[in-house]
Amino acid sequence: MASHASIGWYVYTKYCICIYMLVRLFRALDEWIVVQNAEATTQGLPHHKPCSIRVFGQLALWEAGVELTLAATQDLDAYADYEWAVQKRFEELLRARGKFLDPLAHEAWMPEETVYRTVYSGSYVTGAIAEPDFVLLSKALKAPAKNAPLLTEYLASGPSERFIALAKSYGVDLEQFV
Amino acid sequence: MKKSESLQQRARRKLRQLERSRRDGRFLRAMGKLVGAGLLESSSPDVKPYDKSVLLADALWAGQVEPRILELLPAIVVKRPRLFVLPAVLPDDLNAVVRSIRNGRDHPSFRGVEPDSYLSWVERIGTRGKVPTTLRSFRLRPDDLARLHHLKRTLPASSETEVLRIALRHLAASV
Repeated sequence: MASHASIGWYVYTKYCICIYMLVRLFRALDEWIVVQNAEATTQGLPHHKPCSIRVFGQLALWEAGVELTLAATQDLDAYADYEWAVQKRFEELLRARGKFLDPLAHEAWMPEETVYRTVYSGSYVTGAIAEPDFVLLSKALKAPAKNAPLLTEYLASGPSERFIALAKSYGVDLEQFV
Repeated sequence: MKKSESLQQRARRKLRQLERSRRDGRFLRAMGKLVGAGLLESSSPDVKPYDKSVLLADALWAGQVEPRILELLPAIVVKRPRLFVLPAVLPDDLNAVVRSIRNGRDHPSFRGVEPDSYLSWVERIGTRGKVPTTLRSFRLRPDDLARLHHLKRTLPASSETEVLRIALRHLAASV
């Protein structure tokens, strides 16, 4: 039986690994664009434009350090406005870490008022994660069966007033999770 | 606020049941197996990579606790069948889903998981990008064959089937 201290340390460690992973990923992509653009300058070619990557889904919850039991597949859900070549490089960097970009992530629904917290701001790449309330609302509305255990745990832990208000405004029936 | 408090109390009761299930050996073994195989990650300190044999029945039971397991199972049975110990006869619903993946059509939902969700894993599990193929036969005229041979050389494509795949993708994108 693990002690509370060791469980706390485990969760903290996983949280740090995740943060480190995402920030390192954004930084690696940023550095790649810097090099590519420097080469493009010497060759008189067009530059890659700055882009923003907004992560949501399970990884955003993990990154935010929520105290919920999370199970996640190895895909990353993100909205991004990068060019094709930058996306390909991002996918390569993800693959090197055993993860991959969900090809249908751009079709995923997040509430319009979603607040994203910037976790990396570089020369060309801005990386952000969606705040947990909005991620959980999206899960409750669009995939309630798949996320029922997660939402039960969240409701048991004391949901934020913002989440309750969002659920009411989007017509999410929270009774289904209890 | 009163309603929210009572919602929280009821959620706590349900969570206690859920936590009991999460401590069950079947759940820990199945999750541990998937974590060990790099298919799932878990923030729970109780879930540790598990490399011994795990019965498919345990994974199906664990899928009731963590639905992401059910999302992965059809693709695992098709692409990495040795990950779990499969019974001689698969449960009817899983068998129907596996058959539909192999035939590439008529995909039923699987214990609450919609086809789009489990199908997305078929390309990602095992050999990446490899999906079951189905044999079809067509009668081609000599000029069709000549075009096929020519395109295989000039595209270049690894096979004549690859030429057809490329052509179909282009055709689908243009209509």
